[in-house]
Amino acid sequence: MSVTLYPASNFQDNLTLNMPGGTGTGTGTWTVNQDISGLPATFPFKLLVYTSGSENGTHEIVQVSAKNNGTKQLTISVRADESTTAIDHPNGSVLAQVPTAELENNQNQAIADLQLSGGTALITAAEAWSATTPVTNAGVNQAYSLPTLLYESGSGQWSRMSGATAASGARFRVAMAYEASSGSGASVRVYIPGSVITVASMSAELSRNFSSSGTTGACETTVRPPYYTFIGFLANATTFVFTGPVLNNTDYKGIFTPVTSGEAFSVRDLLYIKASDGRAYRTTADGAETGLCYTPVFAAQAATGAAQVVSAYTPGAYISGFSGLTVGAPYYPSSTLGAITTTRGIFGRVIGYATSATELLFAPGKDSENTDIQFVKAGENWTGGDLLYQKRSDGRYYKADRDTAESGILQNPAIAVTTHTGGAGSNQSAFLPGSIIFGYFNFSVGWPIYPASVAGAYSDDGSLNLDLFYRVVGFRYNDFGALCFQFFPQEMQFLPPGIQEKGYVSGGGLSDTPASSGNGIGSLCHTPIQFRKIMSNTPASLTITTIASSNCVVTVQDISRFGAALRVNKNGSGNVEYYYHGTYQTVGN
Amino acid sequence: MLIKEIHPKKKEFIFQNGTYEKLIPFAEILESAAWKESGVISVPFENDLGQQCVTCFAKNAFTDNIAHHLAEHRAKPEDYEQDILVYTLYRLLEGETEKSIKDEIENIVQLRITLAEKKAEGEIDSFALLMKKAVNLALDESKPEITLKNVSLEHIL
Repeated sequence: MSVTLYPASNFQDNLTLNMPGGTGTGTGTWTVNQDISGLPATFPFKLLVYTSGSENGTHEIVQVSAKNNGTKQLTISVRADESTTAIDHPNGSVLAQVPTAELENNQNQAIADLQLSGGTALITAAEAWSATTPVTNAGVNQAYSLPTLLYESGSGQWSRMSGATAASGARFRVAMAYEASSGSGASVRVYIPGSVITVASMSAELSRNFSSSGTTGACETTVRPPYYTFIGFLANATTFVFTGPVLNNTDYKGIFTPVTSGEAFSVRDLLYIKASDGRAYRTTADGAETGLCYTPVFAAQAATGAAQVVSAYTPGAYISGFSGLTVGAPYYPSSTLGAITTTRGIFGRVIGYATSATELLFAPGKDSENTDIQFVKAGENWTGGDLLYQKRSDGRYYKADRDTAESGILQNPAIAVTTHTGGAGSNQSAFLPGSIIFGYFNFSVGWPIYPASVAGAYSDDGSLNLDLFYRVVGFRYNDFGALCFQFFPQEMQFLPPGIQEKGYVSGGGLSDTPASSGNGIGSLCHTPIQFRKIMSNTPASLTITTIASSNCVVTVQDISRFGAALRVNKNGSGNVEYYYHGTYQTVGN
Repeated sequence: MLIKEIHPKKKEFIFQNGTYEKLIPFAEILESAAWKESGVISVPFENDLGQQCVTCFAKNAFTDNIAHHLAEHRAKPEDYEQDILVYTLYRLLEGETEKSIKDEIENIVQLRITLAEKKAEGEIDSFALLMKKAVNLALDESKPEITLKNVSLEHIL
């Protein structure tokens, strides 16, 4: 609250007031040695009178009226019968401390520190208004009123505030009507911020913050309108403190923070705070830090170079001034520095959604955005997007290749994030399974994706070749984003090198061979041993272990990566049942 | 290593499976029904649990696997060596000389290395499929002029 001090030194010494005893009016004149033009011609005035002759003693408030005679003199009239009026600061009032003893019935000297709080000013009205307007509570007019709430609406003219629009509801230059306006061009007096105004009792509004209202010229106490300015509060049920604007939502759609520029950028450029120096740079979807932009902001002010502190929008802001946005569409960092686009690039998170062709709601999505990027140790150089596998012998990652089992089966696959030439042993970032990857690939919709014979490359032609090695590593996600790839490796069709298989095998038959002959029709059978998974290598041997057998000799022959043949030969003569039941165990895969 | 050692001059080899180990003369294999009827090296034995077992070896493991894998690509280098031992034993039992068998192995391994280099240089897409083609040509009895000892790039490119 503004307070204009009129120290005692600015007043005429040895002020003499004719203080009446009992009832009646006394008068006196102070000569003020400073400008008091801000005071109205006449106004209520209170004296704090020390009746015991000491500032620490008893005192009372004396209601007086003052007249500003325009010559730096105040004529003060005292009515003794109003001396018990409660303290208030009516209407741009003056509080004078008058330390004097035995004031009544005496001519006393008043050495005063005259404090002028608030005050009034003459302004030019842009429209007509009443001196007071009913207070609104949740938009409903109440029985009590406050001076009509005003704002400077341009070119020095004043109008009634309204929270319905930003231009009239969220303002800094505010005042309250001291008197009614007859219309545009009228010269009227208004309370300026800092005034303490005596009002009709509105105890229901105690402890509430008064703001502009959705009702023109009114003050609202409960539900803020879309555009508002807090302007005051009740000190008590009948004393309204017109603080002036203490808070408003002039920047009703913006949330800001200062940032230090790392480079030049323009207003509305999408920026990220670089981890290495903490400064703001323009984003680009071509890099991990620049595209995922863990700390995104939009430039609210331009920077012409590095090391400038400028204002930036933080998430949650509605940012206007764009053009050509698609309403409702998600926007991502673009490959163009600082720009946004509806096409998600290699890197990028949702930055926000267009609420109109010109406005974006800055609402970033998760920075990981369905991707899992981790550092892996490279075994060789590669290109961004290359399909990789982890080699068991050294734990490093190499480009996948379906010519060899470990490389084609992809027990532990990854996808290179960026091209690197750092050589073997360097740490490089890679997408891990489970990621949804944008920007690199344009595979056929619906076809499984698996490694190609060209190292690091992919195939989506559907011609899966079991003479080579592969593993389906994912699918084109859908048509949402033309380059979207779902990196979800499927079950391996091949048994990795070093893993053996054990299974069940049986064969046999009923021979009708004459009793005198060992072999004949029905005395030999071949039973397939079908491996459950395709071996990475043709096993060097199979060992069969007998569970039960009768009248037979068994051999395993024609062993391949896919299976073998169990040869069961009748051993003996006569018509007999011969069979072999057992297990097989591969060695050498 | 089920075939632990081969002693060509003594015409015998050492078979080992778990704790079972046996020195087996070539003649024992050649006289077996499995060899005579199926051309398979088959070794019956009793395992540590007292179960009756038969281990049968795959002659083609070496020629199949070399299309894809050298020793460094196998889970254990011994797996690669076992493939060679099994192949060598088969060829010895078939009457081939050690020198001839060594030449076959060296030629096919070198062809694999050469094709892998050509792939690395971008001259071919897949060495594995070309290796399979080379092996199939070498083992094709209708083309006796092409063997594992002489099959070369000219035959497959």
